[in-house]
Amino acid sequence: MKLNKRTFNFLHTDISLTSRRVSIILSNITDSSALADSVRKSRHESSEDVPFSISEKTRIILAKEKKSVLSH
Amino acid sequence: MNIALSSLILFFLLIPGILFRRLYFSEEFSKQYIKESFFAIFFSSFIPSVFFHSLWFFIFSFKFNLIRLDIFFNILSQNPSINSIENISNSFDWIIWYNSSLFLIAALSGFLLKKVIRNLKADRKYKFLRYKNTWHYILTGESFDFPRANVNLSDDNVEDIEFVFVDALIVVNDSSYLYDGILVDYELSNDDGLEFITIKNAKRRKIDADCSIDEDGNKSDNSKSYYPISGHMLVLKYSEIKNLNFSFYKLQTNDVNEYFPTLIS
Repeated sequence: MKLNKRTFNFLHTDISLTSRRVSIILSNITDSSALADSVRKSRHESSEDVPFSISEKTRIILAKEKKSVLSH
Repeated sequence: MNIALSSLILFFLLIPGILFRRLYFSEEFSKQYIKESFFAIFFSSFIPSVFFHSLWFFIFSFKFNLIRLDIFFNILSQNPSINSIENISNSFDWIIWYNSSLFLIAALSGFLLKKVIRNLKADRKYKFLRYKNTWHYILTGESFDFPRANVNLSDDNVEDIEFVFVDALIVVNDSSYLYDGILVDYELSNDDGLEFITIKNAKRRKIDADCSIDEDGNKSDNSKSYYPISGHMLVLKYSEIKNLNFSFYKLQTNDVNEYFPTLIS
């Protein structure tokens, strides 16, 4: 399983709507809002370079998740 | 022949086909299992039932020499013989074993066939294998893999999509509103359509107010003005939506650990 890909294999043919990484970001109200606003801004500015930052809490969760994926 | 008994046997004969279909149309495609009428269910279960019964009949006939059709037809007759009934009660454990293994194989075959077709992405490549729930393919981006699709992905693939951003046009009291947000859930309806979509971090704006011209003829762009909708998620009923726009994104990171959404290409 990769954090930045949606899981799709023999056991998981029911493809999810978000990757594990985005699912974790969406779990945090501030981070999910930043993600959505980043999309809106990038569309209005016709630019793909509208970055957003995630909170420290989400960063720790993502790091833990990454470690867990790598250990498997 | 007893009508109650014949109905019971007919239902019993259809069980392998019913189980096969139930597991073949499971999970995201479970709505397709439901048919409008009893006859639709009967015919769609009949062919798989005939296949599984024929297979089991040959296996049990040649391997164990256990199948006695004369006894089967005899108990269906007006006056079943005592011998037939005795024979059935003596072989009851074999009958249970025969049917339970048949039901198990039929259910397992439906489940595995679905997994194989989906895993090989054969339903995306071949239209005759495609499930009827078209919305599932659109919302997950799997429709990019359809041979007929004119939007091909050159750098990414469908699994690279990390989230879907939705714009939904809804008309309320002759005014058009554009709702947008990140798609987090959807529900398919029994008629292979869409029941509703659920979006997160939704905002809305009035389309009529996107552009205004003042008295001096100066044009102003208000398309960045959004009305925030507080709450965890917003459910939009498909029946009230006029148009839907989907954008499929992946996330990229830069050197300072920032993320930026990029349209898949």
